[in-house]
Amino acid sequence: MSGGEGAYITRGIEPEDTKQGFSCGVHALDDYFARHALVNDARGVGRTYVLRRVADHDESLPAVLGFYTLSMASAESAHVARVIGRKLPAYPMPVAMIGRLAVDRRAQRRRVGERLLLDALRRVFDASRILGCTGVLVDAKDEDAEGFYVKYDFSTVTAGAWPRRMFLPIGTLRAAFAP
Amino acid sequence: MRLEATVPDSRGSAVVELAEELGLSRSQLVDEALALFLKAVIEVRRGRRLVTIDPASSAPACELATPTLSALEWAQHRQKTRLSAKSLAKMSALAESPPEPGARLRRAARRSPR
Repeated sequence: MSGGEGAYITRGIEPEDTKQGFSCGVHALDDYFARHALVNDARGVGRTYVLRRVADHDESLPAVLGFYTLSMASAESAHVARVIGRKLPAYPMPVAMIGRLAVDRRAQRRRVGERLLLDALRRVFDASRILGCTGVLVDAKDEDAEGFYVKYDFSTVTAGAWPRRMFLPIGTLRAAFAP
Repeated sequence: MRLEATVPDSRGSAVVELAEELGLSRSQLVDEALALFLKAVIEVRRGRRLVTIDPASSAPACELATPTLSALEWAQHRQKTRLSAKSLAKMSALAESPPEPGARLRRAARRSPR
C-alpha cells in the first residue's frame, strides 16, 4: 500500500464513517456497514474497526478504505452427547471472531485487506494477554477469501460447504508477534 | 505501597510534563490515573461504555477505549458458535500444537504498527 504509516489510521467506527459511501461491491457487506455496524457496535454485539485515509492524503482514495468486525465467542460442539469419549475439549473454547472484513472497491489491490487483518490480529494478540482466547475464527465466503486467509496461516476446520470456517491458533499468533 | 513500571519513553515524558504542568508529584498523577483505570474496568465489567459528553449538546463526543477495556468488553458479549465434533477436534488439536507462523505472517506482523 502506498503512503507512509501516518497516511492511514485504524480506529473504532464513528457515525461519520457510515456516510462516506463505502462500497466493496458485496451488497450484504455494504448494507451491514451503512445500516447495522454502528448500532451493533453501540450494543456491544461486535466491535467494528475502520481503516481511514487521513484527510489530506491521496484524495483519489475513499475516506473509509475498509472495515472489519471483532467479537468474542465460545466454540462448542453442536452435538454435546457425542463429546463423551472423544478427544474433544471438555469446555467451550474461547475464541475471537472476525465476523466481516471488507475493502472498498476503489482501494483494492493495495494490501488493505492485509492491513485490516493484521490490525485485527494485533488486537486479539493484545487481548489474549488478559483473557482466555485459544485462537481466531473467520468465515471464508468463497475460494478467494479462503486463499487469502490460508496465506496468513489460517487452517480450514470445516469442509464441504460455504462459508468455510477457518482457525488460527493463539500460539501461532503469539509467535508471529513475538519481538 | 511502591509500584514500579516500565512504560514507553513517550508516555514517561508525557507523565513528567503533565505532573509539572498540574503541580502534582508523579506519584499523585499515577495514583489518579490508576484510580480512573480501576473505575473504567469496573464500569466495563458492568456492561457499560465509557464516553465523554459534549456539554453543549449533552451528546456523546468520544468513546474512551484501550486494548484492555476493549478486550473486557468483548468478553462481556461472548457469543456461542456451534461446530461439528470433527471441526472442534481439529481446532483443539491446532490450539494444543500450534504450527510455527509462516514467513508471510511473520513479515506482516513485523510491518503491523503497534
